[in-house]
Amino acid sequence: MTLLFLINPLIAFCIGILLSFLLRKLNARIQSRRGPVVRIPPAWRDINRTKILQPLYDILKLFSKNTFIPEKASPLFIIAPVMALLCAILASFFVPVAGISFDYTFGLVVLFYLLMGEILCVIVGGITSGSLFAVIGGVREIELLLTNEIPFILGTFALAISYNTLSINEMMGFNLISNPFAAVVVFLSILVKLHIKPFDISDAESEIVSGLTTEYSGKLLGILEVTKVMMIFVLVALFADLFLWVPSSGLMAWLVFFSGVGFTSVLIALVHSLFGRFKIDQATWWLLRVPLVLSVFAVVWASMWRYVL
Amino acid sequence: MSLSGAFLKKSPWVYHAHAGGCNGCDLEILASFGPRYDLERLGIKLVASPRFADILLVTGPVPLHTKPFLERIYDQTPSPKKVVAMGACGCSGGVFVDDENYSIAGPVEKIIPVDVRIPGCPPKPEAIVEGIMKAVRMF
Ligand code: SF4
Repeated sequence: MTLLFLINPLIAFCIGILLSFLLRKLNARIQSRRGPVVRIPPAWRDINRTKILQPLYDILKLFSKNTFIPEKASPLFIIAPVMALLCAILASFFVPVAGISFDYTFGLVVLFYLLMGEILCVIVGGITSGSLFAVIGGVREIELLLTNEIPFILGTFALAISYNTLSINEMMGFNLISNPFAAVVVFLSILVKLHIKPFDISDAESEIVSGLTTEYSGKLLGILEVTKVMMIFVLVALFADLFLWVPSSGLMAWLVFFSGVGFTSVLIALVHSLFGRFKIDQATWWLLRVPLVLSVFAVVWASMWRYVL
Repeated sequence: MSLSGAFLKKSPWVYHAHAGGCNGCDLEILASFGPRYDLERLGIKLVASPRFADILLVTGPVPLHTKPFLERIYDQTPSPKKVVAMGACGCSGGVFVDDENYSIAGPVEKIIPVDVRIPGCPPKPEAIVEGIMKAVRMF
């Protein structure tokens, strides 16, 4: 096994920045705004020339600001964002980037725990801040987590059944055709995990300030932003690997991988800008009604192909 | 210009503090973030909490009962920060300027330090863009 997978977090961060720029830009274009411009007009050239790296500037700015720690906050307030970042970095080792990853026999299971651990760390950090908004956000986040995790796990396990393995590298393929139900389910759960529009209930800006991150400022918020950027890449790449991957090698593999990632992120951006926000009860009910049923379908479909036909 | 200033210039986040205005200014702020004048072109974002903000955009003449909140919002904004007072009310008290007015704590500059003033009742979105850009160039 090569040690090439050690650069995965770096790739995740760099591409994640471009992906979140793409999300912002497409969102703005659909609302007939401009979004962060690619070429700045001459009158404003003294600020900078292009805004393609806008998410990176946001992060650098947050790291150069003061940080407030609330009086009532426990030490977990500081530890939790670092833990979340650690989970995101570890998760990026397990997601193949053009076929390069830490190939472990039970990689999929470890990845489940890391993805869940990242969300749990953010929840713990948020609710220890003692802010009521953060507590409301945390409750919503936990409800979403509980209802979303089952379809996500069932959807990916459908692939595990059809390939008879738990290693992510071995179940990569163009599974969009062989198991479309699983693709839909995993896509929906990625939306929930990334807080894309119909499911951004836990950080609803117009109701509960910013949910779990309400009390964070400066450098700690910067760490959370880095985590968010990396999670965007990790989840989008996971979808591209599991459902849009065509076995190939060398330069071709990178091409296939990045077209998969691009396609998925454009799809996510479209969903983000075309929908309004669910209420929390609507969201949990909808998640129990549609993705859960679809994920059971996906498992049945996969086992049918494998054991019956 | 310090290093942090270089980064702050590139991504200033604005928090809108409403201090007793008539909503005229607030609508114009929304207009300057809308399709026509879109401030997000320059990476400027309207954020929901003063803890994330770099620029405080204060509208209104600051009534007595809003004064403690405005002071608190100013303290809750992590430095480096800039304050933009907006509208005739924010700059000078506007139509509420009369000294005998019992309910006004004064224009914004009496309560927190102000860096940029945007006159007008309400100011045009062009003026808001110009004012915010002035504050951005001060970082
Ligand atoms: S300046 Fe004019 S528009 Fe703005 S809050 Fe005051 S009265 Fe309203």
